[in-house]
Amino acid sequence: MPQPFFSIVIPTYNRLDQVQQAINSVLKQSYQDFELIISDDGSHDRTGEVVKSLTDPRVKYIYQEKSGVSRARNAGANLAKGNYFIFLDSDDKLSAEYLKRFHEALLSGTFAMAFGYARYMDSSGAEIEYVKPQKSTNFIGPQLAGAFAIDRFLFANTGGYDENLHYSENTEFFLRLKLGAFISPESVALIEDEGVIVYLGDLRERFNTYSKVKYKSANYFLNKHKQHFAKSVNDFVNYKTVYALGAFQNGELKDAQKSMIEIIFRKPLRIKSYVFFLLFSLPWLGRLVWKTQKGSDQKQ
Amino acid sequence: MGSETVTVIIPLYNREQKIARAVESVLGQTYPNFKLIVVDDCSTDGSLAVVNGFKDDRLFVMKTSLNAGAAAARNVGIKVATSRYIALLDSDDKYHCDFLRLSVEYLQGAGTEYGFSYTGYGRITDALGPAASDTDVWRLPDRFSGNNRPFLYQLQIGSGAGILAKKEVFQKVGLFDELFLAAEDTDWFIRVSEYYKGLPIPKKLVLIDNSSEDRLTSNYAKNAAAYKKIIVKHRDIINSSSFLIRRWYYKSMWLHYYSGDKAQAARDHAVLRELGQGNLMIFLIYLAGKVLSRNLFINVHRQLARLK
Repeated sequence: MPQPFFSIVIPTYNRLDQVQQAINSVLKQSYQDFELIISDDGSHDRTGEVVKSLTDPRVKYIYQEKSGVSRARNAGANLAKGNYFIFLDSDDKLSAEYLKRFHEALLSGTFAMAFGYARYMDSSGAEIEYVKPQKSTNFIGPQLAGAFAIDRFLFANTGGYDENLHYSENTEFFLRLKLGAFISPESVALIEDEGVIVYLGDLRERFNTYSKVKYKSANYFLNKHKQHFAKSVNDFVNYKTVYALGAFQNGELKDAQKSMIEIIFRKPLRIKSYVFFLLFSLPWLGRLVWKTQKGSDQKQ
Repeated sequence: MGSETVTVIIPLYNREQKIARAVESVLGQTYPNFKLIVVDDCSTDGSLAVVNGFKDDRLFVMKTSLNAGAAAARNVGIKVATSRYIALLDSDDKYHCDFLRLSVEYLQGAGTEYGFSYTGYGRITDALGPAASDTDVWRLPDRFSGNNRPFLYQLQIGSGAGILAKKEVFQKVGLFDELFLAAEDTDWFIRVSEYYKGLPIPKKLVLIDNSSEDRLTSNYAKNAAAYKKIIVKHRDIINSSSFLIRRWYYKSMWLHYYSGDKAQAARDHAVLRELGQGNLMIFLIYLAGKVLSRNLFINVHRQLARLK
């Protein structure tokens, strides 16, 4: 019956060391009214054993056969009892006063969501990028697991994460929030000085392993929201670009070029599109550019 | 999106027979610039289907993921609202077609000390013509006046009294307390009364339904529990005035008799006496509750209330 203020849901798969750090970053918070749900997406390391051995009654553990991060998050949310949900990835951490400041901010008004920063770190622990929380009529973010808390009923109204998506599921989730007219700058609190710390690890490895999933997911995404993309030029251009990059990384050069042409037709004055088209036509140059790229879009 | 001036919020739980007329009364408003959010609180009857049957761009249907009570249902609607004003409507009541137009007009014209407006209300069975004039007022809650917490002293109104509130009021005093299963509006109005005045609109603009008021012990128990909670939460305010002590502990006492909790009723009476606010009438009611059966007490108490 007592209902915690926050439910933190951590989906995880075979990341025992990292998930322990993520868990500690939650248990160490100065604000303590929370429950922590570890949603194990089919790990076959000692994750279950270790989590179940934690004696803290606020920690709950659930297990599913490997079926993806979206389903693991939804399963955690189904169990969650808190007023606000936070989805933290198992290789990331909350900053030290995260819950305290989020709690204060959420109580200071009538907010459906709150956003903190996202700090991206490389494997040596050096900061690569800092994305501050922002809200405008065009964009509210960072749209990244761990960077936001969402009202439990608002989450329920979105229908949760799309379980068919294994990449950019947060982007798609936020598109549905926007399309359902559920969030606006007025309903969002920003917390400038706390947020999520994201460990990118080896960018190159991530880049290669994610590219196929990314390609497929972008395709699914574009089809699912066809009607929206027919109306919104900017959203179409952005998501189709992700798709085109995915196509390129998978060696589907024709598809990548075709996608860029579509983009150019929808928005002819975007110089970037022509550059991309050129790079897709000279694949050796393209590979050189994207393999050395650092940045946040590799991690969602 | 986001340009509307008013968001009307209706929490909905198992009212399939009545919700349509509430929704129709909102969609039929003469004031154009609003959005209606119906929040279904996990109804188990056909309520949700009735609402989904309406096709209107201004209607948004939300849901809770577990039956959480009217407070929680209203809160999620308020959280996503972007408008300057929030209007509260119960799912079994309905608006006069000019409710929003007049309420916005009045509240816009009032000073910043006014946090919300409220209107007169009639019974759902009353005919409500286009001219909801001053003379139509069937029962207007007493005007707040006189002291620094006038509202608390004359708390005759609840969420059903045609409330239009500024969104900033919720930002200032907080949302409805979701731990209340009844009287969550009373608790909210007490907090509001610390900072804001209420603006009475002397017209009958809401029709309320009393027919579902039944004598279920569980309903009385919810109300009694809510009053107990209100007294604990606002003890400093209540104990600061003999009027308030009498008003709130006395009501808590008889509500606990209604719900069958004689022990708590006796404790409320003991507090009244301790604080020197007991009187003969209260003592007789206390005795009656002690010796009579629950149902008999309810009958007697209601007869007495009618005499008053």
